[in-house]
Order: sequence, then structure tokens, then C-alpha cells
Amino acid sequence: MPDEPRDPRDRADDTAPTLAVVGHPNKGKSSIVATLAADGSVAIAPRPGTTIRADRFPMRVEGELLYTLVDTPGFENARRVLDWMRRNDPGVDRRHEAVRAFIQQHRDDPAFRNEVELLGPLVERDAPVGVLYVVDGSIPYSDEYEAEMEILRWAGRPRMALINKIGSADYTGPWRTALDQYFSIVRSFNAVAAPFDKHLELLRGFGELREGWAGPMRHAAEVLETQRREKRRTSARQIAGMLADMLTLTESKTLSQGDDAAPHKEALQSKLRGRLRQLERRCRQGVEETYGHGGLEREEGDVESQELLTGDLFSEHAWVLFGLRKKHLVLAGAAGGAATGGVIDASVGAASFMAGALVGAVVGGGLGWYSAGRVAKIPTRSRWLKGALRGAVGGKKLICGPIRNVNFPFVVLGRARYHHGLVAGRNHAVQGVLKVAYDESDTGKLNPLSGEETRTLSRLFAKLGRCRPDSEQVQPLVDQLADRIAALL
Amino acid sequence: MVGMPAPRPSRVTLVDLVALAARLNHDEQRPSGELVARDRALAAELAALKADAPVDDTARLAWWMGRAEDVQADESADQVRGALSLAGVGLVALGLVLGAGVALGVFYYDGQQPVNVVAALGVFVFLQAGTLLLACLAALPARSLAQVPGLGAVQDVLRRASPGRLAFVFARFMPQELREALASAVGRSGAHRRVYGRVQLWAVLRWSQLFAFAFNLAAAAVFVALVLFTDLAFGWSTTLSIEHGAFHRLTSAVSLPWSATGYAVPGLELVERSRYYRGQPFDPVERGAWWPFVLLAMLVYGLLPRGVALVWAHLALGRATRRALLATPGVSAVLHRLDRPGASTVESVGEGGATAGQWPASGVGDRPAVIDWSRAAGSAGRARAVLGVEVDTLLPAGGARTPGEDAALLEQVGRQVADAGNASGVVLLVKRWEPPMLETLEFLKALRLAVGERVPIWVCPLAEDAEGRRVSDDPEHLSQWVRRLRTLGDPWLRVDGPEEGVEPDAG
Ligand SMILES: Nc1nc2c(ncn2[C@@H]2O[C@H](COP(=O)(O)OP(=O)(O)OP(=O)(O)O)[C@@H](O)[C@H]2O)c(=O)[nH]1
Ligand SMILES: [Mg+2]
Repeated sequence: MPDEPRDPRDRADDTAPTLAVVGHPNKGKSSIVATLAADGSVAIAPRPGTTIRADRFPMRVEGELLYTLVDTPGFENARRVLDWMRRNDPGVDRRHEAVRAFIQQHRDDPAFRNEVELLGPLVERDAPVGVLYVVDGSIPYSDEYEAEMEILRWAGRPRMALINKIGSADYTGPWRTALDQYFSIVRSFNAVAAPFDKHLELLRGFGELREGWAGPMRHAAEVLETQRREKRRTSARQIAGMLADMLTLTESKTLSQGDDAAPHKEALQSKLRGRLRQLERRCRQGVEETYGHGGLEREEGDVESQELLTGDLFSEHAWVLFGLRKKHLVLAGAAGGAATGGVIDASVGAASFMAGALVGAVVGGGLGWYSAGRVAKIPTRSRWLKGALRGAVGGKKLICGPIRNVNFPFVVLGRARYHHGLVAGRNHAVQGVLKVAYDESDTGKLNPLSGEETRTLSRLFAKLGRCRPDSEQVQPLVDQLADRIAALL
Repeated sequence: MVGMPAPRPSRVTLVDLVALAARLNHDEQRPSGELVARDRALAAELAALKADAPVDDTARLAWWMGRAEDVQADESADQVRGALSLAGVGLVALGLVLGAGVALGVFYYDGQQPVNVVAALGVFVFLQAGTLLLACLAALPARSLAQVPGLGAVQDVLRRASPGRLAFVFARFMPQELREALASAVGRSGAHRRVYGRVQLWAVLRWSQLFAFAFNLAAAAVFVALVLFTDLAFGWSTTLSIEHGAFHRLTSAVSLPWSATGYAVPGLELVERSRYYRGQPFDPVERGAWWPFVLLAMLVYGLLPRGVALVWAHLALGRATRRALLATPGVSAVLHRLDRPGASTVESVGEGGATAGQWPASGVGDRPAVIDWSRAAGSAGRARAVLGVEVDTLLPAGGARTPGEDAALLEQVGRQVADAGNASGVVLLVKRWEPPMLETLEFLKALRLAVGERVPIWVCPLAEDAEGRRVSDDPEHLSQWVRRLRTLGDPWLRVDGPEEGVEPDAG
């Protein structure tokens, strides 16, 4: 925001570097700003002339200003600007004054609207500004860029060139040769596809631009890295919370004496499924918000959709893709079964401990084998109402859920992991809905788990499955589960 | 049902929380495109408010709730509002009835036995102070109790046993959808649990205080009425073996808050004289001496603290609700959408421009002047190859050349076209993958001035570079040129690729 009042909290405001992102129109300047400022509100569009004003995008973490990026409109009339400045050259030591004078004299000239906007941040007095010059490495170099680069030289600010490849062709070589003549540092950076560690690398690189910037930029990278870890933990907690909710979820309905249970059963089951889907959607939204993609438009496919992410939780497809394979299912079933058996032991007496756990493990393992690739059935049972209630309304209570299928929580976890991967890896420059194509060969790789992980998780899942939703035991289990999941994300 | 008025941000209530939860619940089931469209429109409206626009998130959310229509959610909220006020009225009524009943029992006097001050103190002072203390204990944040073993469990029991929970009994009578809305508002989901937990806790505590306040109010009122309209005789009696000296110390302690006034403080002598024993006759001499003490004790230990606690719980509930409002799942998405009043794209299409009818049938002729902008073709040979017309010399412009050099070139082109007669035009070769810029537009304007009206100008964006390698595959590139040059409004200018351009009709 251009006129944002300064926040008195940040002591660091004066030392935090400011970087103005400039260049030809439509070369990804705004995309770079969006990605490095982690701000989805930067205006990005495929047509040139999208950005028409110089806008500041401060990168703050918990109130601390780490650095500021300035998004600017592209050069439109560079040769005439340079021509004017050459005619008014005050000498090499004072050339930045020529830039300032140009701005002064052309404030209201429509021919130089963009140049006045974009050069303004470069010549602000007593504000140390660095310049990032952005070019598209997928199109050939051309001498029409020379005037821009020369103007930047006149502005007298530390400069770095960024080669951002928008298309697939590669002209990076010639670009480097040309840019090396005008810029002391030239780097490649893909605004849309660069992974997070490349962001940090680039940020540290900014430290080389100016004396005194290395410290703040290294600090910024550290803060962002810490924040990243925190986000991963938060997401893990959200996913664990969702799993706990799902594993303990039931739907019930009181039937009166003469009521036929069958039609209600169907309705209850579909209601339960609806609630589960809603929990998943809510968790996804939570994860997206955690990564600052709160406004992301997600494509919510219909139930039939085969799309990896939007496909329905209860489609067979999802179960094949994300569920455990047979071997692991047996492991999971056995571990979960042993946990259940252990409880029987505990209530019967410690003497039978081994026996109960063993039987549980065998039965559980068998169930696991049986459930490979099958979509969970939702158990439904009915219970006679007791006491006064029965006298009042008569009849029984139909209860649907919770889902006991061994594979179910793994499918949910797999989908959550996959979704998290997409969201966490998504730069803020990326446009459009969250949606990916996938490869059939990914099958089985989408939710990789070691045998040990499978066992630990299924033990936790089994314990959760035995809790009442509002029981005190849920939270500690969720915390444990969150720790496990954080390691998997 | 009429739409709800937007909640005042400073007065967010439980009802708003439920309304919001119901609304977001519905939103979750709608396609995101629809939501984006709706909220973008609202965002534009919000932006138009300028100085009047709400500033903070709560206020913006409140504004949004007032504007984003959702009849169903509003209906639910109205029902919840009804149910909640019903619960409140029910609790107040219950408190009043109980308070009056207990007072009538405690202050029962039929001339046989005096009203026992001990019982009055027990019910209206010690019981009140005790339950209030427990309510405070329940209100403490769980973290502060972690160090004291066992207290957490006590707190848990207290929260469950609070009379405010009666309100949830009323909630049982709500329709299904409402209960769901309420359940999701007071939901169980992960990170939101803590925030909603506070709301639930304070709601329960406020209801308890409401109940207790009504109880004390009715008791005090009944007492005053009995004193005014009937003869009450007071005495004290207890099965414990207590010396009257000890009981005097107790009454002195109770009357400590107002002892400075000297009024309504029972003296040792009065205490001694008014002791009585069950079943034995007593002498109702001290009719008037006790009641001011009892009344003040009821007010100071019952009504007053309950009033304070009620206000406190009310404020705390408001605070918790406001916090929960922003923590409701889905809110940040709404706020995010409200921040973006549509994409700020520049739709720059002026009317006019070249149409097929105005374009001369002869095109640019077989010997046009060919200008090479920023070395798009690079050589005359290449220009000849792509255009299919005779190109004697390629005229360089743009790129690394200065504006002065361009001006000189334009003069030359003007002369050349004039010499060639009216069948000849101008071709400007440009790179298709570079966007048209203001300087290109200015050049074309100057070119028109140099060659005069009616001379056809063909701007030809090349998709290949000077070596013939294809660079541009995106159809959008050509459209960008067409769109921007159309703003010139020049009827004798056309923009086309070489493929679609002039037929190679010349020999
Ligand atoms: N595939 C890909 N597309 C990119 C990349 N960087 C930018 N784009 C796309 O290129 C187009 C222009 O990006 P912007 O960031 O708006 O470019 P700009 O330089 O700010 O443009 P103006 O503001 O118009 O001068 C958008 O459609 C981007 O999505 C990239 O690294 N990879
Ligand atoms: Mg831009």
C-alpha cells in the first residue's frame, strides 16, 4: 500500500531493505513481488499494463518488517526518457539528479506516466533502495532493452538482474551476457515455479547488493524459515483435528415405535458422508489460510470427478490412490487390533494381556487385508431407547458411524498430505484455481508411509476411534497425532 | 422473514455468531466461483463507501453480514434469537419464583416461632457468597489452574453443574437445523475449540448470574414486602452449641461492610436477648431490631455482587464472542475476498480502427516502405521472405536508436511514399512476443502525420526471430497488438500477421 502509515512497532523499519522491481511490461514483475512478499493481492494478469502504479508490499512477520518490495509499472517510453536525461546531463557524479529532475518536470506528462511512477521510488532521498530488473528468459534478448538498463544505471542504485522464464524456450545465455554488462549480479528466478528454498536463497542474495544488507536479509531468511516450520506444524494440527473429528463422528436419529428403519438408514449415512466431506473441506481451507492462500478458489468437483484433489472422498478412485497397499494394511490392522485387544486385557486383568493383544492383532490384520481398496462401509446400528425417553416417544435410536474401516483414516491423511503439498508449494504468483493433473504412475507414491509409521499411526487412529467425541482423552491423542503428521508433511 | 440488520460491531452477540456460522455453513456448500462473484460485488460496494467504510475486521464482517443475503441463515438466526431470549426469560422466571419461594420459607412467621436469623444468613449470605466464589473459580482460565492438582477437575464439574446449563435444556427444543448451527458455532473443530470454548463458558456463566440475580432480587423484594405488610419477629437458634458471644462476632463480621455507619449492626446485648430454643416460648420484643441487618446482608452479599458478576459476565461474553467471530472457519476467506474489488485489468478498447471495408483492396502495394522496428526482421532478405513483396531497403527504427534518428527516418519515409504515388503503403515489422508499448504508438502517430491520410499502414507482428526461429506461439500475443493499436482509431491501419496479410500478388 503506497500511503500506509508507518507502524510504530517495527524498530527495524529503518534498516529493512527496500527493493523496487522494475522492467519491461508483462515480464513478471508483479509475479516476483507476489511470490517474495507472499501476497496474493498483487495484481497479475497475462496482458501488459496490468500494474499502473508503484505499490509497496511490506513483508512483515509478526509485526516485524523484514523487507519491502515495490511493484512498479513497466517502462513504456524509455528511449525518450534517456534522450531527455542525456540532454540534461549534469556529469557522472550527479546523474541521479537528472533522474530526479526528469520526474519533477514530467509529473503531469501522459507520455511518461509509467516512467514517473517507476522511477520515483528509486530516487527517494535518504531511503536506501535496491533495484531488481526483471527480464523474460524465454524470449530473445533485444537492444530495445538497453535504454531501460542505462536509465537504471543513471539512477545510481545497487542493481540486480533477475531472469524469469515465462515460456519454455531458453535464451538465458545471451541474456546473461547482455545483463552482465549492466548489473553486478545476475540470477535466474522463476516467480511461479521456484520452490521455497530458492526464495530464501534469492533473499540472501539481496544481501550482497548493499553494504549492511547482508545481516537483515540473512535474518529475514531465517525468520521466514522458522515461520515456514510453524505453518507446517499448524497444518499438522489442523489435519490431526480433522482426523479426530472424523473418527469419532456419528449421526443418530430417534425413531418412533412403528417407524421403518431402512429409509432412515440411507438418509443418515448420506448425512454422515456429507459431514465428513465438510470436515475435509474445512480442514483444507484452514491449511490454505495457514499458508496465506485464504482466498484461493478451489474447484470443488462433483462426486463423480476423477480429479485427484476434488474427487470425492468416497470415490473408489481416491481409495486406490491414497489408501494403503495390502501389506501395509495388514500392518495397520494388526497394530490397531493389538491396541484394541490391549484394552480388553486391561479390563479383564493383566494376566491375559498377551493373549488379548495377539488375538486383536490377528483379527485386525485380517480385516486390514480384506479392506484393501474398498471404500468404507458406514456401520449403522440401532439401540432401544431407555427409561423415561422410551416411555415418552417409544421406539429406538438409529446410530450411524463412526467409521471403523482401517483404511479410512489413511485415505483421509493421504489426501490431506497431498493437498498440503500443493498449497505449501504454491507461490503467491500462481494464478487460477488450485487443481493439478496427475500421473497414473503416481499411484502408491501419493501417500508413502514406512511400516513403522503405519503402525504408529494406526495405533493412534484406533485409540481415537474408541473415544467419545467430547472426551478429555481426545486432545492429547490429537497432539500426538499432530506431531507424527508434522513429520510427514 | 426480513433480512437481519447488520450487527453493530461493538455489540456482537451469540446470535450473530450463530448467524455467521449458518451463513458460512451454506457458503461451504456453494461453488467458490459464486461466492467470489458475490463478494467481489460487495467489495466494490465497500470500496465505494470510502471514508464511511468500516475500518476493522469485525466491522467489515458485520457490514458483510448485513449485505450478503442469506434468507435461510437469517431465519435460523432469528429462531436462535427467539430461543435464546426464551431461555433467558425462562431462567429469570425460574430465579424469581425460586427466590420468592425460598424467601417465603425462610421468613415464615406464624406467631409461634421467630424467623431464624441463622437460616437467613445461611441461605442469603453464605450460600450466595459460596456459589459466587465457585462461579469465579469456573471462570478462571484453565491454564492458571494447571499448577494446582485436582482443581482442573473441580472446575470441570463446576462448569457442568452451573444452572446456566439449563439454557441448553431449552436448546433441546430447537429445530434440527438450529441445533446444528449452534453446534457448529460452538463447534469442536481443532484450533477453534479454545475460542468457542470461552464463548460457551461465558454464556453459561452469564445465564447463571442472570438466574442468581433474579433469585436474589425476588428474595429481597419478598422480604421487604413481609417486613412492610406483616409482623415479623426475629431470633436466632442453632443446634450447634454456640455461645452468644461467638454469634455476635459472626454478625459483626457480616456487618463489617456497613459497620462504619453504625446502622443495622446488632449489639451484643441484642444478640443475647434474641436467642431462642425450639419448642420453648419466646418473647418477641425485638421485632424491629433485626430486619435492617438481614436486609443489608441480603443486598450486600447477594444482590449486589450478583449484579456486578452479571455485568462482568455480559462484557466478557461480548469480548469472547467478538473474538470467536473472527476465528470462525471461513471468515478469513470472506475478508480476503472483500479486500479484492475485482481484478484491476485494463480493458483498453476504443472504437474505430481498421475494418476490412476501409482497407484498400490493393493493400500496401507491391513496393511498400518497410520499417524494421527494433530489428524484428533483421535483414531485407528476411523481410522479403516473410512479406512476399519486393523490399529494396529495410528502414531501421526503434530498438537502440535514438528518438532523433527515428524522426529523421520518418521524414525519409514520408518522402518515399509521396514519390511512389497513391498505390503504395507502409509496413511496420514488429516482434509479436514483445508487448506494444507507448513509444510504438507514438511512432505510429508520427508516421501517420509523415505519410498523410489514406496511406495504408500495415503493422505486421512477426512470430519468428531474425533467424527464422519461432518465438511466439501464444495467440494472445497477436491479440495484444490488435487491441492496443485499435486505440489509435486509425482507419487505414491494420494489424495482422504475415500469414493473414497481403497476398503475394506481385510477380
Ligand atoms: N509460467 C510462468 N508464467 C509467468 C511467470 N512470471 C510471470 N508469468 C505470467 O506472466 C504474466 C505477466 O505477469 P505479471 O507479473 O503481471 O507481469 P508484470 O511485469 O507485472 O506486468 P505489468 O504489470 O503489466 O507490467 C502473467 O500472466 C503471469 O502469470 C513465470 O515465472 N512462469
Ligand atoms: Mg505488474
